[in-house]
Amino acid sequence: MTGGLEEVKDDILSCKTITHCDSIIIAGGEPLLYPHLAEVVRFIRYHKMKPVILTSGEGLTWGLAAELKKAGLAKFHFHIDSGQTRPGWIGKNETELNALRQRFADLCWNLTGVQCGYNATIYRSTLKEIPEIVSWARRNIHKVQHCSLIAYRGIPLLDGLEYRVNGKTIDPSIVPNSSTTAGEISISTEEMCDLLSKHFNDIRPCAYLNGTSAIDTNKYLIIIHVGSRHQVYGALGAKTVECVQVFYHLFKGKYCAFLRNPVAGKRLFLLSLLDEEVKKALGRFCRAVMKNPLRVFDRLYVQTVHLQQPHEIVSGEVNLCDDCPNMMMHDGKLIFSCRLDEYRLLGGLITPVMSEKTREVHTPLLERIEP
Amino acid sequence: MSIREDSLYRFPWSKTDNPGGWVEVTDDCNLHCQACYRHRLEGHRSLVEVKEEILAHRRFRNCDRIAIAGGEPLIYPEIVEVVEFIARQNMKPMVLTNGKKLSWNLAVDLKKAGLFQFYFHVDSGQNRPGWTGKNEEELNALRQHYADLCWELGGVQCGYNTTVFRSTLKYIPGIVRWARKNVHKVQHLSLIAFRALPVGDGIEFMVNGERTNVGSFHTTSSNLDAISITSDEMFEMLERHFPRLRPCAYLNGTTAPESHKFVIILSLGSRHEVFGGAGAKTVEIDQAMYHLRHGRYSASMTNPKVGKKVFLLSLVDREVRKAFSSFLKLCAKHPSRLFDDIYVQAINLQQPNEIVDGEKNLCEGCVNMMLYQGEWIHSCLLDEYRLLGGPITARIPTSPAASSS
Repeated sequence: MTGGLEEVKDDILSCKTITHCDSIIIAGGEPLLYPHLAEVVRFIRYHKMKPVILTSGEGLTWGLAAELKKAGLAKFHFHIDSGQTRPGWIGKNETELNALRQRFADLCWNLTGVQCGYNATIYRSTLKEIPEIVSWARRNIHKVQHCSLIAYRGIPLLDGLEYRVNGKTIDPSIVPNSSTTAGEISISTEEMCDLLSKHFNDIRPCAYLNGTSAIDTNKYLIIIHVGSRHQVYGALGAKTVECVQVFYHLFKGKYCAFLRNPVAGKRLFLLSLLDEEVKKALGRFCRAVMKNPLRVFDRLYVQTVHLQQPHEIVSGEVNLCDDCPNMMMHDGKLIFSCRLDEYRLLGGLITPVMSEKTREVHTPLLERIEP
Repeated sequence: MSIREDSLYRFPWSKTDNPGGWVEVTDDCNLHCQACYRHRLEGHRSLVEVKEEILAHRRFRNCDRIAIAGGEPLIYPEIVEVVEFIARQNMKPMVLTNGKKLSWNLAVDLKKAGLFQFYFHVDSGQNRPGWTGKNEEELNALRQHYADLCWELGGVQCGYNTTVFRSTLKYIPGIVRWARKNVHKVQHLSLIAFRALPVGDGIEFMVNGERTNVGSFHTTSSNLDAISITSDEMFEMLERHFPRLRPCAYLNGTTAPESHKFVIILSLGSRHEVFGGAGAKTVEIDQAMYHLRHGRYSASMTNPKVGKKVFLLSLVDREVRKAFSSFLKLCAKHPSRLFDDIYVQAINLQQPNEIVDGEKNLCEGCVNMMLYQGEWIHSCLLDEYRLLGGPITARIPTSPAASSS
């Protein structure tokens, strides 16, 4: 959402009408700089959706956080990574930035009733540190409900690939995030998941969104941890996510973006009847209780880790998230929010055009099918 | 009353978890239909290639049903083998045909091979020998012929496609009335609004970012009104004749999400009477339970004879409750009706491939996607890829679909 308050409110209502959304992400720019932020949060809450603020956290005071909580804020999503040139944190690596993440997690914990999530852009140079970020998040499973690891993407500047907007060739170097280094913009969710699996033997993705043009890509890969403040017991499987979505939609008429209460309780283990992953988590919980019977009184929490591979060009076509949860209104139309600046800067969507020679490099899908 | 989304279920189908797949075995045909968007370029395709595509549908799209399309699939020499192959992969084979070449023996062979459903394309724009000049209501006799054939064959469902032109829109209540009389024999009726590329002053088409000429296309129209029938318009026309008709589910458009590309109406009835319909909650429960049980979504009821247990859904579905009430009233008048079999029948209103605000407005969660040169495409765009090398976008001074809605 961008623009004046009335325009923002119109966009919220349009999104609700068109997409039947469960949550609205207030993004920017930096939403905390917006003078009517509390009113926007209140408006979203009034319309029975969950307001989420995507913020760098700079400028977030206790007073402002309390005001936003009072307005009905459901979650902060703090964007923290080493590419932000953040005053006081320049030169710190992702592991060192966990101290900053801890500060905001503690703030939300003390605030109570407002969930805490993180976004981190992952570069080739910082990929090796994602186990440290996830390890920190797992230690804080009671305080941190969400962690999104977002692979860095940019427009590839390659020979034989040109870009057109409304039929006219454009100079792609004017677009921020254009890159001549293919390796830098090619981190996939599978690559991140493989790296995490090497460090955590209970990492199991349970849900995904595919790509629009390359449907075999996992644009969004979701891992849901279940654990107490002392230990992560395991993950949830596909059947649990399916049941939650199905029943939420049956009762509320919309799909669930995230549960309002991250304290899942032990009733969650009932799902072990149909979910192998939950069964494993229950096994670990029982073993922990046998070692220390006091663990039986621990609260159980769920925490989601999202691996994301955003807007990219695959085989000469733009590959977006199929059923993207981050669509937005622009000039009365619903668009992918990651493409907003193509409309704003260039007046339309970029169409990549591959030369015949470049096309030959692409492996057709059928050849990727294993016998 | 217009279609209200808050009373409809939006199918949860995506590109990789979708009940429908589409495989074209040939682009050759034995009829020359007015609205056909397929061009004769390649003839019959190799069986090996067709089988590879079927496997890709199972693997990449988690399909429950494969539509065997064309061209005319019944003139494809290995049609029985294709049906058998799909059934062996634990999917439901469906043949989209004009029916012209269908003999009793071929129908029996296809049934033995595991055919799930015939979908007969019958309409007045087909220049069909023996039926030229007949209107849509007169063509119900031909529809009856195929419905009776499937009924006698047993175990193979019967569906119809009809392209609806501006000139034939007034006849759709007559087609629906005929289908409702045959609720025990006919499981599907798709009324598909005619679409074509709009041509005229100021309209420019682009492919891969370059201007292109669409002169090679069969289906172009300078009459924007002729290509602007919407699902909503068809529903309003039907509602005037069947006031209790209620849509229950839909698919929206890709670029115009407020458009209803695919609207489903479910009727419940016996061979004597249609009692009413099913609502959104019934479809939602059916889709959710099928997916939980089978790991994929369903595009067709496995058994259209749903029985009286369907009325249990009246606990959660107001539309089913109304149908149940009609059933009970009928039974009070004629107690023997209590022993009637109860069937479900789907009427699909479709508003295909169209251009809105210069972009193609396709069905989001399309059930008819296909493979073309290793990439997944909407089957209605196939000839844009084959003839022009990619999907068309356009610059139109006033978008026909937008202005009509």
